[in-house]
Amino acid sequence: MDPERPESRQLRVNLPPAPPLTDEDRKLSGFPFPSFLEPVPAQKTPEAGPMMQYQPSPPESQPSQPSPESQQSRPTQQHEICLVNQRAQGAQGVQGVELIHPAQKSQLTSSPSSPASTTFSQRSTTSSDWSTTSSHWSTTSSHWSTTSFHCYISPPGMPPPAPLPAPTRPKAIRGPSHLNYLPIRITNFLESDSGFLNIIETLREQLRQFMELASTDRCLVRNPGITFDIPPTYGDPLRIRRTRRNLASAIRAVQIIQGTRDMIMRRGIKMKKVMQTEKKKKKKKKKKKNTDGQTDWPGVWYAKIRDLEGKKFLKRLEQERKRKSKTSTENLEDISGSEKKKNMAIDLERKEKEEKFLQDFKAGPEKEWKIIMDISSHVGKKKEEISRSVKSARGLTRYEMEKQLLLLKTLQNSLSSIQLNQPKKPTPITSLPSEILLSIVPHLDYPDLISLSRTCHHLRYISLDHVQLKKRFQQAQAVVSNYLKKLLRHDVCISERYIITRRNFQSKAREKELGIMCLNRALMNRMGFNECVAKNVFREPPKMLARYY
Amino acid sequence: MAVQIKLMSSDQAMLVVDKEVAERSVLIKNMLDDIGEVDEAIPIPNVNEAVLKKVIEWCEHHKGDSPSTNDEESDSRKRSTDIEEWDQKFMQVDQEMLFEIILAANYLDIKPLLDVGCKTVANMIKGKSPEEIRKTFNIQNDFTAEEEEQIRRENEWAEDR
Repeated sequence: MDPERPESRQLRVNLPPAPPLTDEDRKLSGFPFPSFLEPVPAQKTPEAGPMMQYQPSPPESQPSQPSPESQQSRPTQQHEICLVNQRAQGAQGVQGVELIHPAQKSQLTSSPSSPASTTFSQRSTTSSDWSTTSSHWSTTSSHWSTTSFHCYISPPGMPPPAPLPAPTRPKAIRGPSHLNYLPIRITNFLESDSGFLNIIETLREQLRQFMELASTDRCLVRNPGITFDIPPTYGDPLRIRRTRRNLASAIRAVQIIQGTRDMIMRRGIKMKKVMQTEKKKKKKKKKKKNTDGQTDWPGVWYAKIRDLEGKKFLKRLEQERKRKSKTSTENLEDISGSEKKKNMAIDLERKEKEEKFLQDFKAGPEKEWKIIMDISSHVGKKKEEISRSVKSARGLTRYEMEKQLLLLKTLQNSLSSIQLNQPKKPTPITSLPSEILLSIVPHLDYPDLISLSRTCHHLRYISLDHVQLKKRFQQAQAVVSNYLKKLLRHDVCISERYIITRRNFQSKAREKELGIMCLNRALMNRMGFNECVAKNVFREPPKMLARYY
Repeated sequence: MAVQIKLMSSDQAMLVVDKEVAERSVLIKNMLDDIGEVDEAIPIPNVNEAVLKKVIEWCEHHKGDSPSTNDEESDSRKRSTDIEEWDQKFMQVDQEMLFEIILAANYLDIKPLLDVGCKTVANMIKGKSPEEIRKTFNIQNDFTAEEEEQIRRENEWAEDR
C-alpha cells in the first residue's frame, strides 16, 4: 500500500496464479507492470467448488452441445484474483456472478431478475458453445468518454440454476437493450468460487468508484477511456493476460489521475508560494531602490518622478527632503567649518546639475514632443476641447502637467486674441433662469409672445405658460376695474355737471341702438366653436391651446 | 459723513460703497440689519467686479428714488416698456453684460434694476419675427419641420387679423 496516497489503495489489484509474463505482454501493455500484478501462487479456498477447465470453442457449424462431462470438468488452472482492498475482501455473500450456458439463455430471458443496479446492454452473442454475452457499461460524463466492461454479473440472490436441458442453439438477441440482458451462470465450475465472485464484486465496486471519480475529477480530461475486459473464458491464458493488462492499465490510469490531481494540488500550492515570494522580493527591491536612490544625482529623481507618477511619490520626496535637510542641519552643527564648505559646494553642484537636467529634460524626450504636438493640434479649436485635453492628461507626471498647463495658457491667450478679432456670438437668452424669463414675458404683448413661442421649445413653454396667461388676464381685469372705479368716482360726477337735453338723450339712445345692432351683427358673424376648431383657432380640447406639448 | 460699506466681489475685488446706496439691494439691507455695522467686507460671490461696479453705479443714480410698494403700480409699470433715458443709456451694453446685470439684480434683490433689465430685453424682443429673435439672442431652433408647420397652423388665425 502506498502510504502517501491512501486513495490508491482502492484500486490496487493482486492477480493470483497466472502464467508468467512474457516480453510480448510487456510490450503490449506499454508500461512496466506493477509488482503486485505479478503472478502469485493460487490460494485454494475451502469453499472452492468444482474447477473449470477451459475448452476451446467448437466450430460454429456444429450446434453447441456441451456434454455434461465437459460442463462439470475441472479447469486445469484456477486463476484467482485477490484484491488487496480489505473492505472489498470483507464483502461476503456476494453471489450471482455466473456464466450461463447458451442453451439456458433462452429460458432465462423470460426471468424477471434483470440487473437493476447498473445498466447493461447486450451487445453480442455466442462465439462458442459458451455464450459470451458482452455487456457494455457505458458512462456518459463530460470528460470521460467510455469505459467498456465485459463482465457477466447477475444480481445477488439469484436462485441456483436448474439442470441443463439438451443444448439447443440460442436465439440471437438483437439490439442493445437492458431488457434483453441475460444473466450468465457458471454453475458448474465457478458458482462456488468465492474468490472469483469476490473479485468480480469488488471490481465492480472499484469500477463504480473509479467511474465516480472519473466523472467528478476535472483533470481526467487528459486521460483517455479505459476498457475493462474480464472474459468469461476464465481459463484462457490469453484472455487472462488481456484482463491483467487491462486491469493494469486501469490501475495505471487511476494512478495517473490521482497523480495529476496531486500534481495540480502541489503545483497550485507551489505557485502560490512562488507568487508570494516574488511579491515580497519586488517589495523589497522597491524599498531598496527608494533608500539607495537618495544619494544619486538629481536626474535620477526626475526619472523616478516620470516613472512613478502621482502625488504620493512627490509627497514622499518632499518628506525625505525635509528629513534630509533636518539631518544635514543637525550634522552641520557637529561638523567643522571646512566640512560645511564642502557640503555647500556639493549642494551647489547638485543644484547646477538639477538645472542642467531640467533644461535637457525640457528639450529632450519624445513623450513631451508628442504632448506638444497633441496640444498644437488643438490650436484653432474651442476652449472646451482644450479643457477636455487637460482632463485627459490627468495620468501624466507633474512636470508634464505643468508643461501642458503652460502651453495651454499660451494657447488660451492666442485663442483670446483670435476671438477678439472674430465677431462675438451673443449669449443665448435660454441661459437665463426661468424665473427671469418669466419676469421678462409680462412686458411683451400677445403678438410678441406668439413670435417668441415660435423660437424654441423652452421659450414656447415659458411664453405660453398657463399660470402666466392667467395672471395676465387677472391683472388686466384689475386694471380695467380700477380705471372704471376712477371714472365713476362720486366726487368727479358732482364736480362735472352734465346737462342732458331730450335731443341729446334721443341721440344717445339711437347711438346705443346702433351699437347694439353692430354688436349683434358682429356676434352673428362670429365663428362658432366648431368653425374655430376647423380654422385651428382652438384645438380639441381647447385647454390644450396654451400648451403645445 | 455717510457710513460706508465694503463689498467683496467674486474675483476678490474690494468696493467701498455708501450704506444708503448699498441698501438699494434688499439682500445687503437685510444682511446689514441682521449683522449690524461691520468693518469686514461683505462677500458677494455671484457677482464679479465689473458687474458689481455697474450695479453700484445704477444704485448711486437711483439713490433718492422712493421704493415702490404698491403692487398695482408695479404691475402697470411692468406692462409699459418705457424706460428712462438714463436707464436706457445705462443698459446700452453687450448682451452678456446685460444678462449679468439682470442676474446680479435678481441675486441682490434690486427690483427696479431687474425691471429695467427685463424691459430692455422685452424691448429687444418686441416687433421681431421668430427668426430675428433667434438671431439676436443666439437661440437654436429645436423645432422639427412638422412641429413648425403645426405651430404655424395654430397661429394662423391670429396672423390673419
